[in-house]
Amino acid sequence: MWRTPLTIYQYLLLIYFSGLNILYGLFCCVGLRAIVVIFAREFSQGTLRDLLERDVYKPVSILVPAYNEEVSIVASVRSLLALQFPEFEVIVVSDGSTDDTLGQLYDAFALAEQPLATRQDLPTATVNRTYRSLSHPNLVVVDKENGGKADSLNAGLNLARYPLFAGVDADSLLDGEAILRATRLFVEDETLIAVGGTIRPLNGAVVKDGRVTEVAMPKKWLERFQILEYAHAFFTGRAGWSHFKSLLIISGAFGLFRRTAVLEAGGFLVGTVSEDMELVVRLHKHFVRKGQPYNIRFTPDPICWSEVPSDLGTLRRQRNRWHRGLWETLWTHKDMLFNPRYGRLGMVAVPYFWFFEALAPLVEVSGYILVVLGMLFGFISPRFAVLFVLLAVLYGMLLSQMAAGIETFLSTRYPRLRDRMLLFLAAFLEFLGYRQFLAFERSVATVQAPFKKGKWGKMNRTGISGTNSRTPPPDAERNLPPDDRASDHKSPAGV
Amino acid sequence: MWRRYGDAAYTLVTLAIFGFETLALGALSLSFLLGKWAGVTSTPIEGVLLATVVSAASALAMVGLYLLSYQFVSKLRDRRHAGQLDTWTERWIGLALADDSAESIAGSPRSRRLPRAAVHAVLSLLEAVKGEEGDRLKAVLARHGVDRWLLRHVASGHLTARLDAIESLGKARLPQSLDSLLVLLEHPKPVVRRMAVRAAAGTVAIMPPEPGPDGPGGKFIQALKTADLKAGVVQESLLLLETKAGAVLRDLLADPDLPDSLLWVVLETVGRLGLADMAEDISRYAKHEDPELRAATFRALHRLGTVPDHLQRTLLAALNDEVDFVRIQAAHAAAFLPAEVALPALEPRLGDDSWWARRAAAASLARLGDDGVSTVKRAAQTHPDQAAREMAVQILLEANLLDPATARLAKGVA
Repeated sequence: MWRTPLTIYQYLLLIYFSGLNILYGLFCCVGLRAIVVIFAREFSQGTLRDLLERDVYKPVSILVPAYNEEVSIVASVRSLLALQFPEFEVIVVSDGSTDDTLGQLYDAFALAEQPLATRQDLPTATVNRTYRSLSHPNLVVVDKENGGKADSLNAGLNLARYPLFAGVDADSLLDGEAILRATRLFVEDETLIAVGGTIRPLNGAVVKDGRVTEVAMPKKWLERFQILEYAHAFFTGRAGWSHFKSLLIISGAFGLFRRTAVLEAGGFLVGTVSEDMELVVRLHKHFVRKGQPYNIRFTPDPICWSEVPSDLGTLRRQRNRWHRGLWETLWTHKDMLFNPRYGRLGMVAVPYFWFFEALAPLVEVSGYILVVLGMLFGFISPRFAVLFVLLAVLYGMLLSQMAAGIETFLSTRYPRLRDRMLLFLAAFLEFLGYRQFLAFERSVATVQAPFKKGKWGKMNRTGISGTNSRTPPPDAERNLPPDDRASDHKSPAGV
Repeated sequence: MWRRYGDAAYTLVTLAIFGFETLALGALSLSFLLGKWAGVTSTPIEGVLLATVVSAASALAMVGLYLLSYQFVSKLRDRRHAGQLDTWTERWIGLALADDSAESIAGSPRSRRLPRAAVHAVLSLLEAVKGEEGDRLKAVLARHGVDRWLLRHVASGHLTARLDAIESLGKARLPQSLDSLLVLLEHPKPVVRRMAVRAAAGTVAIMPPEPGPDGPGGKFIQALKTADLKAGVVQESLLLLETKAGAVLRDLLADPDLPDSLLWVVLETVGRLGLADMAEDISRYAKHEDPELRAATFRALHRLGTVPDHLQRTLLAALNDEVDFVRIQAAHAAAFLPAEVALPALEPRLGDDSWWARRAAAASLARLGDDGVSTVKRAAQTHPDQAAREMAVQILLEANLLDPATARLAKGVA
């Protein structure tokens, strides 16, 4: 009696497995062609320099929401102020920080209190004070009541002077040319409203004067697994979706937006844990409904370096939050699912995120259970089970390697042959517990999603040291957020 | 930023793997379906599964081997290339600065093909070196057939080869390549059109001016008018024309059938290039029915730092335009009106509905000398509109005309 439904479920699982792997493979091919073959050739160093010399750029406001970021805020702001870009302002919004975030900024950048004429385009929590740096006139610091990351970004947007703005996490470092490379796309395409860059793990890298000068493989396997995940997510997934004009995520760690477009769509949504994805989905929705041509792109070159969790607890909380965020966004915009009004977004991209991202952990966990039960009760032969698991592992490794392969073409790749071997090994080892651990946590998040709406989670951070991120400062983990609201703002690394 | 060799081969590898694995997964799914719900224990399905496992393992081995080899080879190659590049750059600099003819200095047989590093080095130099020195280097390129080789690749069906060749021609700025580049403005791939128009503009910039439709500027204009390019790309290309831009922009403005989108680009470019002698040419668009063009005209005049006398009345009227972005640009441009005309017109704009118009008005007032600054200071204290007072304070602070303590006081008063 139970054999028929089980067989049907097996069949569905196999179709799911095949479909997912074919899609990933397709994205890998598309991503590779779009990134390496075309993009790398169009935006050479010479072209960029030519255009910069002729003032072909749009000025940018860089918004840095910060909550209890005393460990990394100064290094991060220093790296932003050192960007190679002719006209930009940095607006740090301290979101009711209870640690010494403001004090660190005050001392490092000679802040002086200055009342600023603020537009009230978006409602936010009360702004207590605004400061301007006496040493860097393009640095503005806002001290406001706690209202969450989205609220901080909205407060920054109210102050932003320039037509483009970038949201950058306070624990992230941008490549020197990141803003230049991203903004030039806006000059070229007047319909472009948002651009997402590539996020690469900072762990293991050598940082000097706020710049990543050398990349090296981190020591912990947990961090190495995440290198593969990020390569997969950015170099194939986002590049692929962008190619098909259906990009639904721009990472909160670094994204560049046209200010007027975001204001028109209502700014960042307060009370969600995935304000970055939610905004992008809302932008799509807004412009499709309006019938106005628009474009949202991923571009591989502006690289943002961001610290990834180095302990299981932080990783678990982060992935739990990301997955709940995914559900929150999908649920908020559930009317887009299979809605032909939204074209390929409604018919392909949104369903993909529902079935291959949001539901994936449940399918994966149920698959593990089914294989074990099948072997126990004899409806799956052990040989078949072993072969099938082996196939899943091989495909996983293959896709990881294909994505990490794209990174090999970057000048800032992991330099040693040994690193490449380690990444190869990591692609295998991640199936020995890491993947299952994440699948389980994401399944838990799926169940929690309706009850923990908008809740973040405590994050441990080692901090961006002034000289080398391999050697965190001894007091790096003190003064963690007192409540359960984290300051870790990166978006889902999932495709 | 990116290594540009081995990527095409890697693309082929991934495409092959993708195609093969799609077939394998399709076969697996199909065999399962054809098993008529016999379950996965049936022997034929296991056979297909085993074959799929073997194919996936082979693919993984292939990718792994490729990447390891690439990492190893590229490391060696990068190191060697850097060394060769230095050597060749020194040789080319010597050649460019030498008095002897290129033929005698190059010192290599006519037919010999230059090494890749030599070509890269000379192309990089050509980006910076112009005039006689540049011509010497170009003569070497021609002597070794590099120009013909690049032109052949520009017409190649292989995308990467074509893009690389366009980029090289953009650096080399060879007059003989202009026609080939302009043809590419009709190419179906946007990336080819974008790169070609930039390269063509750079080439026109170094060619001697020749009036008429058959001159480089004329040909460029004709190609630009029919090409499917976004406004930003057209603007980039016009800016890359350097000293030839003025003539091209004038020719474009002289065309009565110029589409509005192109006209907008021309107005923007005039402003960005600071072609003050064209202020008169563009001023007639200040009354255009399209608000985007009106705003672009005022923005250009603001950048040029001049407002023709006959345009004063139009500009004053534009300060009350119903479209906010026209008011904003007009307020910026008003800084270049005589103070006695601008002051009474700008002061009411401090209370504009638009935050940006208030800001532009305050900034312009602050640039109008002592009277303007006094007006802003007065507004900071006494303007009936709180938003106007705040904006006035803001502008004074930014211009270092007010210290923060007084500003706080002013805000308190407000």
